[in-house]
Amino acid sequence: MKPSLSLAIIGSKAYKQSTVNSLIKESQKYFSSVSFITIDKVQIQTSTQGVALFYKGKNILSYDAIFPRFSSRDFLLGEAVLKAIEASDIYCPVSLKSYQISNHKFLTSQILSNEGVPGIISTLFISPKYSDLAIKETGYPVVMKILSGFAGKGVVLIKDKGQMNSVLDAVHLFEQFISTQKFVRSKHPGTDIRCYIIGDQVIAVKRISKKGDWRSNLSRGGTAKLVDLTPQMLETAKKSAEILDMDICAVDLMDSNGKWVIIEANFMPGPFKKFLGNMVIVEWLKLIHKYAARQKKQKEKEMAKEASKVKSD
Amino acid sequence: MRILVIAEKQKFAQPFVDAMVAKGVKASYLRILKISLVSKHKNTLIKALGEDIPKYDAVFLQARISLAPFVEPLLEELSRKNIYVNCSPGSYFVGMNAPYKFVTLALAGVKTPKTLTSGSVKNIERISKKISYPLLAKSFKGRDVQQSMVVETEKGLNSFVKSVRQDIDGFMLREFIKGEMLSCAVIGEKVFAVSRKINEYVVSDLEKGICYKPSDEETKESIKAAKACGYDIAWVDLVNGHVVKVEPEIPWNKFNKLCSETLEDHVATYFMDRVKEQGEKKRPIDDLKDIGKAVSKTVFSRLLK
Repeated sequence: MKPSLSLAIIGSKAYKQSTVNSLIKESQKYFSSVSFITIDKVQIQTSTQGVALFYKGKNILSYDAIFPRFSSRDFLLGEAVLKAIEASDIYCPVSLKSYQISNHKFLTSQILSNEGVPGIISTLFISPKYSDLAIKETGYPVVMKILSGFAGKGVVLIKDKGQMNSVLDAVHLFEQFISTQKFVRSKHPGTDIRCYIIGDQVIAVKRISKKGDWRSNLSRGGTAKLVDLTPQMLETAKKSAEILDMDICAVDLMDSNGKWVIIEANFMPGPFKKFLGNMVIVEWLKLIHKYAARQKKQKEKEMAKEASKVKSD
Repeated sequence: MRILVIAEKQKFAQPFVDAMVAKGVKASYLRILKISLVSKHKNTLIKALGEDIPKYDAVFLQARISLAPFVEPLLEELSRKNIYVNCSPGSYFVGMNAPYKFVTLALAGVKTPKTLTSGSVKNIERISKKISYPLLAKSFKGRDVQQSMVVETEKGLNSFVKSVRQDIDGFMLREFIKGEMLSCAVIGEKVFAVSRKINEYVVSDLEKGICYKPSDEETKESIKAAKACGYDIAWVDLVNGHVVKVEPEIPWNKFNKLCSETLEDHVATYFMDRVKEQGEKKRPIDDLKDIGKAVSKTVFSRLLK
């Protein structure tokens, strides 16, 4: 018999209605009780007694599983909520560390590269005055990314020093931190592979950019199709998710001189409903259910053990 | 023993460099703006004009919390290279987000005032019923405080709500604890404290405070708060034993003046102890280079060439 489990989906303030509708509908097939909570409605209570999270008077930390679906725009409450979840014994497919790292483009590249995941040379600097030292390592052209950017926004291709200086002047004015990446000449320009990592399973989608746009984010137009991964791509994707401590995430790979390298990791990937229907959503929920059930069983076992110990004492 | 002081300006760093040099440490200063990080092929380089950071045993970092997006990768790398730093990876993320900081403190068992946080101002009335007046109300845009005021009554809370912009990302209501504020400079296990008056909910300037000998309980709580956030050196504020503020930057001159101390000496001693604890790095090549540099400034420079 399947255990009866409850799930709370904590979504972004700016959630996509169609994705949320599918998530709720599909999760009702696996969980006996499902709540969708936007993060701005969560109430965080801290005191000498500890930490509690509430939604409409209900303790969020009483669910069996929590599926965070929020982005870098929700940092103010997102970090606090994840820290509280982490201290509880609720199953959550992502961690605080993964939220902080995957929402920082350079930190992602740094941590993955340090662990041997193939990536692209990346730089990070504060002052435009000292950018030369960093760019010397990548050479031009470079892809410049604003640290807080997402969905391909805040990404600029810079061809030379002159262009770099004028962009840096503007960016510095808005007090943004700059990360640059060596521009990789791909055998397949405008194409990348999005890998959905769901536990041990990987679903890969080839994304082809809109004509005239060198970025392949689907939110900017373009098409997609399911593909098989080579063993190297599979290893890169799985290793990245493991290092970043996520059971559910997506990593984007691109071809660099015949080798597939990681471009970025996504904490809250879109499910590509337009191309994949509910396929990714269903797999997410199956995994959360499986792991939450396992965790609940373990918890019950420990409690029974504890109870028998008290009895014998 | 080599220690690098990383700060935004030389005038903040120099007293620490001098204190360390006076104790026989090879200390130098590096401006944080000069650093760039390059991640490539299983390694991350900390590039800084003319400075090879990994040769240091320890780094004393004094930087604004708003530099967190740059400081965090730097801390990550220094930690990976086994270089002791006064703040641990992740600590600047804690410092720049008040709700996250209070959750971190509460989970570590640090005594904090009751605090309620939420995203939507629409919740404020319902939430306020869980907390007693007076309270400190804060609104946030991103992770920055947009507005902060003490509210004594429900009416006051309504005017706070009206004054808050609709596009805020969250608000925080914190129990206002009465009593004197104790501002503590935590340096490892040592705490130097200044007592400050609170009149009509306004805390007097730090300069107007009086040097104070903290109780064992206050000392313990301030160290615990600093450590919970990942800082070995921090500014911690307590009111009636409750922690209300933890920051990695300390206004050194003000504390020195009020406590009649040279806190830079304590920092230097603390760093030396930490380096001795973890063991100095063996670096014969660097030492030879230093000897070479020293000789090149003497009449024997030709001989060296």
